[in-house]
Amino acid sequence: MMTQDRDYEDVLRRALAAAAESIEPGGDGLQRIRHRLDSRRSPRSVFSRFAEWLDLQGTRLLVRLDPLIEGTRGALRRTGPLPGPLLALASFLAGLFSRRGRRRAGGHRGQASPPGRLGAAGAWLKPVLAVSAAVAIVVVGVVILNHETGTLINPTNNNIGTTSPGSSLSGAGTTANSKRWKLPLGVTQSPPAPGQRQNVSTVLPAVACTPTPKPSATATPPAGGATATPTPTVSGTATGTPTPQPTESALPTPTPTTSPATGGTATTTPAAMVVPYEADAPAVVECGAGTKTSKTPSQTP
Amino acid sequence: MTHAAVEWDADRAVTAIYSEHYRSLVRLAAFLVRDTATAEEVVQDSFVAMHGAWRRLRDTDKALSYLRQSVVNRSRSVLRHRMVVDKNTPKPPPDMPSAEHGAIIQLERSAVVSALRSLPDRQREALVLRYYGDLSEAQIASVMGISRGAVKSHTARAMAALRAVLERDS
Repeated sequence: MMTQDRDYEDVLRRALAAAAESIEPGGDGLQRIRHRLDSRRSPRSVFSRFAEWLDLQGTRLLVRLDPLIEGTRGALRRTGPLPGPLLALASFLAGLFSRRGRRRAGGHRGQASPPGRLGAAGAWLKPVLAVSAAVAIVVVGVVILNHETGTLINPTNNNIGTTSPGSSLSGAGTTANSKRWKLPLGVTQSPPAPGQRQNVSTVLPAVACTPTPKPSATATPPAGGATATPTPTVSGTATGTPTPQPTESALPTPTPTTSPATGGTATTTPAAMVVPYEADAPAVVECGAGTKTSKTPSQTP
Repeated sequence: MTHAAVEWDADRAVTAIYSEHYRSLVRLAAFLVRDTATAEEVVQDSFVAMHGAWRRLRDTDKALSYLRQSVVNRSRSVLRHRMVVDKNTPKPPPDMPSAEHGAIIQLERSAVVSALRSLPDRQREALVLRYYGDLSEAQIASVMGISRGAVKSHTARAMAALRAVLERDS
């Protein structure tokens, strides 16, 4: 058995040597290598090599996507006719991929260079491009997410601005930073109703709009002019009289649970207060017809 | 060493290794890619790559080992690409000979080479490096990027398959 193996090895060795004798490379190999080295040194070749590398990566991607394309085609055949635009899109994509593959396959046949001639540049160019592509994808994703979050919050913010037309700071709701929300002073947050959105605004069923005696709550009148300036204080509590007409609340009609047996003493006011949670803008608290603008102590100079 | 000195040294190394090993490397590549023109391209690319990597090679033996490894890797790339091309191009009519037909016929004059062509790529690489390149198992393992055990396994399987093909044909 061993001698037979040796015989085959000798036969193989002789056959390979004989076949190799018939292979004679061209005599201009060194010139071609030098030409390639010279063209490699020129800065313009960086772009051509990058294009070649892209071409090679495209071919590799095509190979990897081939089962997916075939699977999609099979699925399309099984599902039957598609709606017009979808069918047009599918056929366009299929034609694009097949044309690309054929063009690459045919184009490389006549070319002088085989694939993978990116050489030493590929060693650093590929990872750099891969990392930059990953970073670009992450950045685009973050930007899109930020944009989506902004569009979700901004409409409500606009509503906040429009619900207080009498306020001198009506525009503050639209221009304030919508990401920082905080309860104003003196207002507690109640859990939202099942149909309400929590982060937007909260209808407080029974919040007493009591004027706070803090000096920073209202604009301080000049000395001695306490009786001359009519301060728009809100008197009474919101639980006192249920007003039948809906207020300017942006929310849909809050379900009033007024019981007729109480005879006017409702537990929940339909004229609910819309309290925006805003940190920077002064809070606007509406109670019936009166509007009180209070400033947080931190904003007072 | 300055950049210019490295370049000059690399140019000299390319010239020296070319005059001594270019032919054998082209023949080695031709056994792998089954096409002389492509084999030349592969070897020339490998020389260019070696020139670029000369700063860390700086040794003729290392450079030759690098060249062999580069030739094998690039030959694999060519075969992979050729597989894609064959898959995507429409089949030519049977009476139309392809461009590589003449070169392949040259290589297939021997029944052994023809049987060698029917082997899987890795087994063919192992046999060519072993019996044409006269490399040791460790060198083959280094060039192919596999373990010595894998080299033994590939070689044994390739020899068994080759023997079966030759006995069947004879």
